Amino acid sequence: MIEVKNLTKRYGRKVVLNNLSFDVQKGEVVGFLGPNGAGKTTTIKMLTGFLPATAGEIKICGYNVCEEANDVHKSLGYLPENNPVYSSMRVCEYLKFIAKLKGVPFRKVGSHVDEIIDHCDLDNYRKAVIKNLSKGFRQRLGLAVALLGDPEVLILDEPTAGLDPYQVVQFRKIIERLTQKHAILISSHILSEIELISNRIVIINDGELIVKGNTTELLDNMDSGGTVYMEIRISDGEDVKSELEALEDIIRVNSLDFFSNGWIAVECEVAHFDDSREALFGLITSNKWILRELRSSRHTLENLFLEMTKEKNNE
Amino acid sequence: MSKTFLIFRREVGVYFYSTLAFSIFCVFLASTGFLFLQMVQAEMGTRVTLSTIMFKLLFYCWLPIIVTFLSMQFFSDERKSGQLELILTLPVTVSQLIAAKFAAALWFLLLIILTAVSYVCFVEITAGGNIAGIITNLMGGILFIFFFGMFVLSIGMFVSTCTPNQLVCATLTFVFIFAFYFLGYVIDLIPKIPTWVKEFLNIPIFMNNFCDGVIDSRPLVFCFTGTILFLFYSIRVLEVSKHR
Repeated sequence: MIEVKNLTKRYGRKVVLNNLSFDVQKGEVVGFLGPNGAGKTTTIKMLTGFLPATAGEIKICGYNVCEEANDVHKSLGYLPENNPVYSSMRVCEYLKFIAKLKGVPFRKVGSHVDEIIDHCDLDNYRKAVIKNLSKGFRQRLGLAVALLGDPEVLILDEPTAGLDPYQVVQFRKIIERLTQKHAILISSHILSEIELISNRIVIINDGELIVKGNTTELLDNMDSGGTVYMEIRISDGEDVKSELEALEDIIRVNSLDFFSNGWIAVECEVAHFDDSREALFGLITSNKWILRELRSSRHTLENLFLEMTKEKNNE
Repeated sequence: MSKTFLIFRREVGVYFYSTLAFSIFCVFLASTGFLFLQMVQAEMGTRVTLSTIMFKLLFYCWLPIIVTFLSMQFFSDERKSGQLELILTLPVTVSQLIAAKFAAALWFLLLIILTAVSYVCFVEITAGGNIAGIITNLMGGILFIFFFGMFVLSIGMFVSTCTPNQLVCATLTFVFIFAFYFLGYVIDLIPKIPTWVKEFLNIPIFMNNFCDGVIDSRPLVFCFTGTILFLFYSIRVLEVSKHR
């Protein structure tokens, strides 16, 4: 559905995007991530045909973005970063206007707009003037605009920016409903959201592709399996750190905080997420330490993102 | 339904959704009425017709102001808010967008001209004038003001595509319009330029002739071709700036 091959963008001598390639298939939600200034919005503007590429090729539903812009725009639903809307219009009137511009047949405009309004839970606001809508409902309206004309590809630039947690959850539910019928590319800074929604991710930094692939596989292939947090009480003079690091499964001790009465909070990075707690519990019982908490957590997309973008920044 | 017509309808709606159209109309009707009365009193006893007074008022006073206001509305605000990005990522071409916006502004300008002309009609009819004669007198003036207004609007459109700043847009449009007013006088001072060129570029003289009922096709062709040229430039500028 979206094919990007060797995409490059230069402004004069400055290379904003260098040789980027990725694709998005039907039924997939791909998270497009990167720090500020990485080139995400530039890439998205090129995907929508608003900016031309200096080199490379973009195809949306098989249409070349440069040569067949009109066909591309018919197959594309786009929610820009700041979600610009004609604020003086009413919700229903605005949606009908955009639906007609998107080429929805005149007789079907009403029913199609009703369907989209229903899909985006905007039913109670169909007669509201857009400037009076809250941020969350404006974002829903932006998504409704993107969905008009039933495009096969959706490109959403920061769709959850500025929404409260309740609105974010509702927005996620709407996106989940759309997954089967569309190919969706979402750019966002809210990594927990991307982790929940997306099947695959593409991370860029300084205009270069850092990593792309299946989110679960990428998390599994990280240097460590996750972290384990525990709170234990030890006898005086014991070297907890070296004892823990002597375990095969422990990669490193991240932090060691001493509380009163001999209690210590330890956070360790472990090689294998599933096995580490057993080995740790064995060590605790053999040393006769007292345990009051032991919990493990997998690496999140945030860990992966920070690791990947940090590596690039350190180069 | 044509996409151009859809955008045209929305653009016309925008003038009346906001207070812009209403405030322009209020100020326009009140001051035109007052100035018209003052000018009629001043020209009392001379051979100057009522329509000539009104068209001079429109030409020298209102046209530059209204066209400047309309030009500010074209693209500067849409660029800033990002609406231009949204509309240009829909299946709409730059030419359709420019044509629709231009047509909406032209419609608004025509509405202003006709409202002003209604003063003259009202005074002439209540004074018991010949309706056929009044219409003949008015047609020339309306034709010229409409064509010249179309031309300067296209300049405003072009300027608006060049700058995202509304103030810069307004200033440049105003300067361009006045440059055309004074072009004839400036060229008159240069001796080596042929007389036919001087005549051709003296826009105010054409205005006077049209008001007297002398319909000359040259300024109409000039304004029409100029409009096409500036609209074409606007399309190119927007396409290039989109692709920068």
